[in-house]
Parts: sequence; C-alpha cells; structure tokens
Amino acid sequence: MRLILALALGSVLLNSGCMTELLSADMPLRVARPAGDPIDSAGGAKLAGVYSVVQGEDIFGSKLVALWVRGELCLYSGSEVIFVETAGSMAADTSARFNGYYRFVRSAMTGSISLTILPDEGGRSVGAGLRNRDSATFTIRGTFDNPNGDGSRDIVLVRTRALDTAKFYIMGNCAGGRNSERLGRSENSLEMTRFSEYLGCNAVEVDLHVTQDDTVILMHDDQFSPRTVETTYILGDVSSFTLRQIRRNSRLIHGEVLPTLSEFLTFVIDSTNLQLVWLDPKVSRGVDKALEAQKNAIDYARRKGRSLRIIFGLPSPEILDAFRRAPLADSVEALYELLPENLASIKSCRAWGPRWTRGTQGATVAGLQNGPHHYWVFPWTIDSPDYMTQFLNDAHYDGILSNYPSMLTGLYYAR
Amino acid sequence: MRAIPSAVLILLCTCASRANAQDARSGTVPYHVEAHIELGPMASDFLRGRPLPQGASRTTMGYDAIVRLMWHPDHLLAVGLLSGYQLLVAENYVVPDSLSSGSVHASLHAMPVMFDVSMQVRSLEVGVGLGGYILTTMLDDLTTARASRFELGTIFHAAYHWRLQDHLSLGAEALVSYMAYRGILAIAPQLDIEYDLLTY
Repeated sequence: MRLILALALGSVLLNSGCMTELLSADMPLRVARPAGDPIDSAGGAKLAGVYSVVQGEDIFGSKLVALWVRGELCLYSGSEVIFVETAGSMAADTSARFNGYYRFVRSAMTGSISLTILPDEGGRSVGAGLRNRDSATFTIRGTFDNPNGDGSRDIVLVRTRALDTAKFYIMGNCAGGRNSERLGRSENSLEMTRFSEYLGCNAVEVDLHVTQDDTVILMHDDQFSPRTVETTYILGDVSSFTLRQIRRNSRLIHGEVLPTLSEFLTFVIDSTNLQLVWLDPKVSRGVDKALEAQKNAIDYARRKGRSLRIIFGLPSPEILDAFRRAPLADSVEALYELLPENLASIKSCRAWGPRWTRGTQGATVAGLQNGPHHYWVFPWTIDSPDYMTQFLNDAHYDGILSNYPSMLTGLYYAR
Repeated sequence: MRAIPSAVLILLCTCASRANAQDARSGTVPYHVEAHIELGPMASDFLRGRPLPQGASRTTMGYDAIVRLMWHPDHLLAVGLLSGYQLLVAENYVVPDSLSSGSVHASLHAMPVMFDVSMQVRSLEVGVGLGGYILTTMLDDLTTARASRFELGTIFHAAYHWRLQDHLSLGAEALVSYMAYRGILAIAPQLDIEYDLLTY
C-alpha cells in the first residue's frame, strides 16, 4: 500500500511541475499616469541616459539605463533582469512625477515604484521640452515596494552620461519575450510586439509556421499545446488546422488572436518604431508564401517612408533549399545561421546568425563585417549576463538576440 | 523545484524495496496474469475553465473503456499495462464571428498509455497508472481536422471485486484520470470485469 501511495504522491508532484509555466506575474498591463500635465516627448527624451544608483544599489545594481519609450520612462538593469515601466506627468511646481512598477523578469517578483524629479534637479528641464535644450543633470528620487519585506524603500538615481548612439540591434526573441517570462502578453503576438519596445528592443525575432491552408502564422512550437494556446480542441500539429479553425476555436494564452505573418508585419510598420524584424521559419513548407509577405511588407514600408529591415532566417539546409527555389529569393534579405563559408553562395544574404555556443568568434565576425558584402552578425540566443558582457566586449556584433532584451539593454548602454 | 523529481524517485525506490519484502501471499498462491475490462460513464472537469468555445461549461460528460493487463505474482502487488479509450467531450456549438456563424462539431478523446501498479488486499484493489495520454481532437468547422498529441498524465483507481467463478470476478471501480498539463480531472464510476488469463 505504501508503494501505491508513493506512486500517487509522486505522480501528483511530477504532474504539478507541468503547470508552473502558466502562472502569471502580478504586473499591470498598463501604467496609470499621475495627475498633472503630460510630459512631451522632447522633454521625456532628455531623461534617456545612464544613471548611477546612489540609493537602492543592492536591488537594482550600480547602474540603470533609462529610455523614453512611447511616452513612458523605462529603466533597465544589467545586473539582474529588472525592468521598470513608469508613466509620468508634470506637476504644478514643475517637478516631473512617475508611477509604475518594477519587475524581476526571471522570477514573478513585482512591485510599485514612484519617482520624482524635483524642479531644480531636472524637472524644470523636462517640463520645458524643446524650449530648453540644456543638458541638465537629472536626479531621480523615489520609493519602491521592498521586494525583500514589508514597506517601501528609497531609490535615488543620478544621470551620469548620455546613451551611446551607435547602431546596435537589441532583439527580443518570440516578438519580445517567451511565455515562460510571464510578461502578461503571449509570445509571438501583436501585443508582445508592442510591448517589446518597452523592454528595450529595437528589433524582434518571430517564429513562423504554416497552417493546413498554407497561411503563414506566428508560432514557435510544431504543436499547439497549453503552453501556447487556450482552447478545448486545437491541439497537436500546427499543420493539421486551417487558419479559420485556429482562430474560431483558440486564443493565445493571454487571450490574443493568433496573428498571420502579414498582419504582424503590417502592425510593425504601422504601430511600432522597431527597426529590424528577423523572421525565423520553423518548417520548409510555405517559404514562398512567407517571402511574398516579406516583400509586400518591404514595399509597404518603403511607400510609408518607414525605415525597417526585414530579414528571412535560414536555419537549416531544408529551409535553405526551399528558399533557393522560391521566386522571390533574390528580392528579399536573408540571414544564414549555418557555416559562414556558405554565406557568399546565397545571393540575397545580408546577415549571419551564429549560435552563441560557438563562442565570440571575433576574427570571423570582423572578416564578415569588413569583407566585400559587409554582413551583419547577430548571435543567438544569449540570456546570461556574463555571456552578454563577453559578447558585447569581445567582438563588435551588430546586435544580439535574447530572451531578456531588458537586461541586454541595461548591459549594452551601461558599458 | 528541480529537487522534487529526485526526491520522488528516492521515495519510490524506498517504498518499492519495502513492498518486495511483503509476503502476505507468498508461497500460498500461484502467479496470475489478469485481464481487466472496465466500462463506465465519465465526468470531466476542466480545472482552468474552458475559455473557448464561448460559454462552454467547464464540466463535461463522456465515457471510458479501460483495459488492464496485470501480472500478479505471489505478492499483494501486481504490475501491468493500462490502456483504453476515453471520450472527454463531444459537442456542437456556434462561433459567431466575422468569418461566419457556422456551427462547429468537435470532440476530444484520450487514449491512456500507462504502466500500472495495483495492490490487492482480499477483494479490494487500489492502483495507480503512470504514463500519459494520446489526446485526439476531431474538429469539424467547415473542413474536418483531426490531430493528436501525447501528454503526461496519471490514473488512480480503486475497486471492490466479487468472485463469480474460479477465473472470473466482477467489480465496482472508481477511476480518476488527471491530465495535468491540460488541467483535466475526470472521474468515472466503472464496472470492472476481471478474468484470470493464466495461472501458474
């Protein structure tokens, strides 16, 4: 009988482990602006920079990077995956006030944070916007919920320098983050794409699959499962279902509609400031359809005067073969993920994407970047702060793909 | 969390070694190979709800038919394989959206594929099946789609048997299926027909 009880207990414990990925962090999907006049983008953009953490260093690390993203002040830590999103207003006394939350991305830990920039500590400069182009020294003071206990703690940040303006692509995996990061938006969704900019991304990678009726959709896994969709009846191979069946009978795990590639690219062009999209096909079927959507989006972006690069990933020989056979293969830009010796044989190849486990490969990277084709090089997928630092310092990559773009943002700009 | 599987394995090994030592039937009863055929209605609860189809009840009715083949040595413990068929839900519903308001016929089925361990004390049998389910969906929404997927799961069962003949007994069984990844808990009262295929 003891064996039966042990097996029963064991099965419950083992099975319960399957459900942890579905738990969500307690973070708001929108941050509420404090009362007051809105901060204009010219004023808010002045806050972008690297800040020294004078108080709160044990939680946030010694440096924080600030970006002004679509009217919100976002802070990024390189020491841990800590991300802060706040919305601000100008008070009557010309201090700038911000309310929002902080999030430890690798755990579910979140809390509220309130920040203030007093008039004499930069608040007046923020409120002046374009009318005053001074380079004020900003000091941000505030409080945040103590993540290690009750009550709140103080935080003080002093801006030490402006951001490096060199071109570098901070790429978020699965349109910004995977479901396991519990960001309140589903991976490979339009909502995650919008949120990716707040995470510090200026580029995203998305995964492509093909439905039974040959529609290219954004989906990472070969099979529908509770990891990616909420549904009663949509399960198993992605290629078993038509787009109509998928949309009428399932939602992504945070309730979003599963997007097609065309819808996603149109959204990126119309509704974001992202500068690069890496399309990562998971199957060789439907490559011609994906290239058609890519070409249409490039043409649409050009007509709108939108600066956006879209590159088509070539992760396997099968997909490369399908790519070579596609009529539009020479009309779009591609990224090859296998041996760099083969890059030159792909006429439209624009970039190389080495797996990070191959090492930093500084000489190879420099050779490709400075050679006749001036390839971009984007290693994938780096999530460790130590390896991020190593790749940022040991070779001059054009960008890095990560599941933690907020940490990469913190590390890259704070170097 | 990663330590839990290791702890469970150690616990299982400890208990298994103790179970081997028991001798309630040792030396007095021959070995058996037993077949169990179990049938009954089944109520399933989708523990995380069913967001789609819209308005769907989280509790559904179906039925199941289970087959167990057990090797029962001269111990209380019996080990074997468990499989069968379970209808979790079958329904018609309407999806009103911009595409159309056509009706949908859909059903969800499960085939457990498990290693089963049971303990028989007199007429009472308690057991647990460990393994998984091949979940199959049939979706008729303009066109018909059929797809399957394997997911981990567990079955708990407890039965009381009445011997009808030397090799045949009839039992009343309660069976609980748990599909953890999908959050489905199903309960089935069953009729259990047990037949001794081989005695040696």
